[in-house]
Amino acid sequence: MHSSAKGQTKTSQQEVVSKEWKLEPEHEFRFEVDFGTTVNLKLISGTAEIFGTEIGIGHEYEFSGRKIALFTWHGCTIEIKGTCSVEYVANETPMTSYLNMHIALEQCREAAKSKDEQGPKVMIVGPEDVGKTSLSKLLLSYAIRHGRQPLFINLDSNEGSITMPGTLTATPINHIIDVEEGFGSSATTAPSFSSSFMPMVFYYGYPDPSENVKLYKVLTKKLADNVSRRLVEDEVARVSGIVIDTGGLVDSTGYEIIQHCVDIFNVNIIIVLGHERLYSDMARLYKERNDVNVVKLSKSGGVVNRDNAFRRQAQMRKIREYFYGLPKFELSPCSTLINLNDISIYRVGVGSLAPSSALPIGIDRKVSETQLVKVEPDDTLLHSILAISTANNSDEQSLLVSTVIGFIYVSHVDISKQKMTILSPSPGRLPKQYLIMGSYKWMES
Amino acid sequence: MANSEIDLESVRQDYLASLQDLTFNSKPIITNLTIIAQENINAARAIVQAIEEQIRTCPPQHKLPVLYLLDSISKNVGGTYIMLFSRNLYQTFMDTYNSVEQATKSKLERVLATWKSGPTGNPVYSSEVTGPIEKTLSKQQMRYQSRGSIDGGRTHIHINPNFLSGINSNSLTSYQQAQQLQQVQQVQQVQQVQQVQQVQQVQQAQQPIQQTSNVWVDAARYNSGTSAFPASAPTRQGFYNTTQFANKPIIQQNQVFVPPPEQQRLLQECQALILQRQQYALRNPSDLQNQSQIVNLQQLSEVLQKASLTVDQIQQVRQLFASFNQMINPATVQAQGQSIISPSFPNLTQSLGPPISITGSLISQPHPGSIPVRSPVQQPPSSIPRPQPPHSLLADPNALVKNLIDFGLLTNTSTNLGNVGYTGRNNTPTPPPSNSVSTEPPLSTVKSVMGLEKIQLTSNDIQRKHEGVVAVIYDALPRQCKQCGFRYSGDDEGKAKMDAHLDWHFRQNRRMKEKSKKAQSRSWFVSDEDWIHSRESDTKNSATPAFFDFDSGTTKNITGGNNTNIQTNRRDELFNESTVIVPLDPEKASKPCPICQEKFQCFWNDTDEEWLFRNAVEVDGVIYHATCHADALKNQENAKLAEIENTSSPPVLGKRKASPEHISDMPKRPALIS
Repeated sequence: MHSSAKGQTKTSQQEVVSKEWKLEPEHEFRFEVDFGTTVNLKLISGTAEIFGTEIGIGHEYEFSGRKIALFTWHGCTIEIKGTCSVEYVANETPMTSYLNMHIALEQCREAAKSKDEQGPKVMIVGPEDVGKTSLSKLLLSYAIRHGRQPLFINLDSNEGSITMPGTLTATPINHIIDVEEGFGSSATTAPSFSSSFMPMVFYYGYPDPSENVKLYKVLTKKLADNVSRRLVEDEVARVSGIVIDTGGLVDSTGYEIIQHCVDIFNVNIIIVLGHERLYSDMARLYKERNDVNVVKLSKSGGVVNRDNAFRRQAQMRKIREYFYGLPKFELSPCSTLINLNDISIYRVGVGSLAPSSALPIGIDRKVSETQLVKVEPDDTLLHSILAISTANNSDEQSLLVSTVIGFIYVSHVDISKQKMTILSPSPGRLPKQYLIMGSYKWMES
Repeated sequence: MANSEIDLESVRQDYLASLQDLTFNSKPIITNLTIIAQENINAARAIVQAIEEQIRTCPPQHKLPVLYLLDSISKNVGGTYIMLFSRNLYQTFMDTYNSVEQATKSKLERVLATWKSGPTGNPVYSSEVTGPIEKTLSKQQMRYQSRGSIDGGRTHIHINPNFLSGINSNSLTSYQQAQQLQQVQQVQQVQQVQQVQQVQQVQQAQQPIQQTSNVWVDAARYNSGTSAFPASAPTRQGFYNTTQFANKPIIQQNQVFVPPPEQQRLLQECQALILQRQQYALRNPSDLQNQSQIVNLQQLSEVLQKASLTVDQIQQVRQLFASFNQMINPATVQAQGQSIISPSFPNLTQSLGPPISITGSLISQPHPGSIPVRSPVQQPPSSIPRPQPPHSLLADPNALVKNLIDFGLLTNTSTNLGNVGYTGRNNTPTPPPSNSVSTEPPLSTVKSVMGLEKIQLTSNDIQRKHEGVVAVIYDALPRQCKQCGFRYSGDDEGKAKMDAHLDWHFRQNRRMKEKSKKAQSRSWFVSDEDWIHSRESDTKNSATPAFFDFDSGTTKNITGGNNTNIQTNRRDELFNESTVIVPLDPEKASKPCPICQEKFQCFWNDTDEEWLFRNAVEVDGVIYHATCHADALKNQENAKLAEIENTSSPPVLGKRKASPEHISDMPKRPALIS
C-alpha cells in the first residue's frame, strides 16, 4: 500500500486521502482496492459508468477488495477518498465495440419484438481474466437502460456472481446492477439499497466444469429447460433475451461444454472475448449455422490477471457475503444446533470420494459421475458449505436436478451426540432435509 | 454467534430502541417488529417487558401503535407471548385506554373485540383476561355515551389506516387531506420531533455510525432532488438524521467561493438582467416565457456565484447576455423559454408528497414547518409546441444551461441550491429543478435504436465507430434519478416509470431507516417452479415477507405498488366514504355484514353528529359492507356475462359466501385496522 501524490490532505488517522481526477471523454479510470481497505468514489460532474451502470452525481460509492474501471463517454470529474493500490487513467478501451455490441443486441430485440420472436441469446466465452463477467454486466446494464429485463445465466461456477461459488444460476435482471455490490446479491429480508435479485440456483459444487462434466451438463440442461419455460411465459424476458457468462473454457472439455450450452440454450450470438484461436475455432465450428453468429471482441486493457490467491479471497468473501451481507448492509445469520438424524447429506459422483490410489486394483473409479452418495456425517463435514436442496425425497432423479434454496455452513460436528452446529442464513429450522455437499470449505474469520 | 446464551437484557434494550420508531400506525414497522418478536421467541419475556414499558412510558399519541404491535404479536405469533402479555394485559390496556383520546379509544375497543374472537374465530385472549377489561370499559362507556356529542365535537387527530393507504396511491384528494392533517398535526409534531430527535440522537451515539450514515446520505440525496423548492417540497429524510444532514450543507456553504473578477462582472450583468426581467414580469404577469427566462437567469447567476467557469464558458455567457440585450422587446425571446417543461417537479411532489404524509406524523418530518405546498412556481404548459429557436444556439439559454450541465456545474449548483433552500426555508420560490430543463436533448439529434444504422453482428462492424450510439444510452434518456443515476426516457412512459422509481427509492429508504437497527437475514431462494412463474414485481419486493395483512390493499400497495392494487385501493377508499347511520336498534346494529360475516366499523362523524358505519351500504333494509356488496354485484354481473346457463345466477349472498376466493380473502381482513 502506498500513498498517492497529488492534492492530498492527510491530517489525522481518520482523515482519508482525497483527490480529484478529471477524465476526458471516452477515458477510463481504473483502480484497485485491496481487501480490507475501502475507497470512496464520488462523481463531481459529468457522466460516468461502472461496468455499464451509470453512477449518480454527488453520491458516494464505497469499494473494497475490487478491481474497477470507471468509464466516461462525456468526460467527468471524480473524487477518490482512500488509498487505491493501483490507480491510473487509460484512453484505449474497447468500449466503443462493447456499446456497438449492445446496440446490435438492442436492434435484435426490437426486431424480435415486432416479429414476436425470442430476443438475442448471447453467450460470452473466452479464457479466464478477459473480462467476461464485466462484459456480461455491461450488456445487462445497458439493456436495463432500455427497460429490458434480460435473464442472466451464470455458468461460471468459480465465481458465483450473484450467489455462492459452485453454483449455476439464472437470474432475471430487472433493475439496476449495484456498482458497489459487484453483481448485486439475492434477496434478503431487508430492503437492500438497490439490488436484490431472485436467482434460480443449482449447486454444482466445484469451481471447474471439468471436475464433473456429466453433472455439469445435467445441471445446465435442467437450467436451460427451466429458462426456456420461463421465456415462454415471461414476455419481457423473452424479448430481452439472455446473457450467458461462462468460466474459462478454452480446452477440449471447454469446447465440448460450449457446444453443449449453445445447443441447450439455443444461443444465437457467441461473443469470443480476447482469444483469437477460440474465435477462429468457433467461427469454423458454426460456419454452417446461419442462426449462430460468432463475434470477436477484444479484451479491455484494464483487465487484470487475478491470481489464485485473489480468486480464493474473492470466493471466501462471496461466501461470507452470503451469510453476513456487505459492510454497508449487514445480515445476521443464525447459528443453530441440528440433529444429524434430521438431515441427509449427499455428494454427487463416487469418484470424488476417494483417490484412485486408494481403490482396489482393477476397479473403475468413476462408476458414475452423477451417482448420489450418502455422506456419513463425521469430522470431514467441518467447515463445509452445504447446499439445501428443494427436493422432498432422496431419489436420484429428483435430488440430482433439484434447485437449492440456500446454503449452510458447518461450524461444529459432534458425532457422539449426533449433533451439528450450523450457520444458517435465516432463523428458524431448516426448511428441507436433503443437503448436497460440494468441494467448498470456508473458515469463518 | 453465541446464540445459545441470549442476553435478555440486551434484547430488551434493542427492542425498546426499535420501538422508538413506532410512533404512528405503520404497518411495515409493526410487521417488522412482529417478525423480530417471532424470531426471538426465546427472549419473549424481554420483548414483552419492552413493549409494556414502551406503552407505559411513551406519549399518549404513540400508545395506540404499540398496542397494535401487541395485538399483532398476539395474533401472529401467539404462544408464549399470549401468556406473557396476559399477565399485565389489564394494566397495559387500561393505561392506554385512559390516556388516549376518544377516537383512539374506539380503536382500542375494536382491538379488544378482535381478541374475543380472533381471526380464526377462537379467542386470542381468554375471557378471563378480556372480561375485566370489558367490564371496566362498559362502565366508562356509559359515562362517555352520555356526553358523547361534546367529546365527539372536539378536534382530534384521527389517522385512519385506510385513508393512509389511499395516500400511498398518490391520490390527489387524499393528498389534500393529508395537507390538512399535517397542519393540524403541526403543533404536535413540534413536540414529537423534539422528543424523537432526542431519542434518536442517543441512539445514534450507540449505533455503528456506518449504518445510519448510509441511510442519511441517501436520504440527503433524495432531498437534494426536491429541495430546490424550499417551500414546496417537503424534505423527506427521516429527522433522526436531521442533525447529520444539516451539517452537510453548512459545510458546503462554508467553502466560500470567490468568483474571479471577470465572472463577478458577469454576475452583475446577470443580476441586472434578472432585475430587468422581473420588472417586465410585473407588467406582464401572464408571460410564462419571461418567467422561465428569469428562472434560467437565476440559475445562471447561481452558477456564476458558485463555480468557476472556463474562458469559453464566460465567452458564451457574455454572448448570451449580448443577445438578451439586443432584444428590445422581450416578447421576441419567447420561443426559447418555452421549452422549459419541468416534469420532474410535479413528479416529485406527486410521488414524494403523499407518502410523506403517511409517515406524516413522524418518520420523515425534519421540520414541523414544512407543509407541502402543491406548486409555488407556475408551470408553463408543457403542451405548447416548441418552435425552432430562430437565434443561434448561443442565444438560447437552454443550450447554455445544457452546456453548463455537461460540465456538471449546474447540477452541482442545483444541489447546493437545494441545500440552501433547505436551511433557509420560506424564501421566495427558487427556480424549478434545472436538470429537467436542461438535460432535455435537442430531439432531432437523438435517434432511437432502430433509427441508427443497423450494426451487423460481425466482428468488423462491431469494432467500427458508429454515429449516435452514445446518445442512445444517454441523451435519449433525459430523466435521471438523482439517487442512483438511473435514466428514463423523456416521454410519458418514462415519466411514469421515473415516478414509480422514485416511489420505490422512497419506500426503500424508509424501510432502510426502519430496519437499519434490526437484524436482517438472507432469504431462501425460490424453487424452480416459483422462479419460472414469478415476475418482476414479485421478485423486486420479495424482500417484504407477506407476513400478515392488516388490509390487503395496504400491503399490496406497499409491497407491490402496481396499478391494479392502486386501483383497488382507490376503490376501497371510495367505498370507505360510503357510510350508513348506525341503526338505533341495538340488535340490528350489532349484526355483522351478511356477506363476509364481519362486524362493521363505526365511527363518530363530527359534521353529522351521528355514529356511522364505515364502508357500508343499506340495501332493502340490510346493511352490507360497500366493498362486499359491490363485489357480489360484480360477481353476479360476471356470471351473467359468462352466461352460465345451467347454474342460474345464484342469489348475491349465497354466491359470495360459497365462492372460494372470497374465503381465501377472509383472513386478510381482520376488522382491526381496516
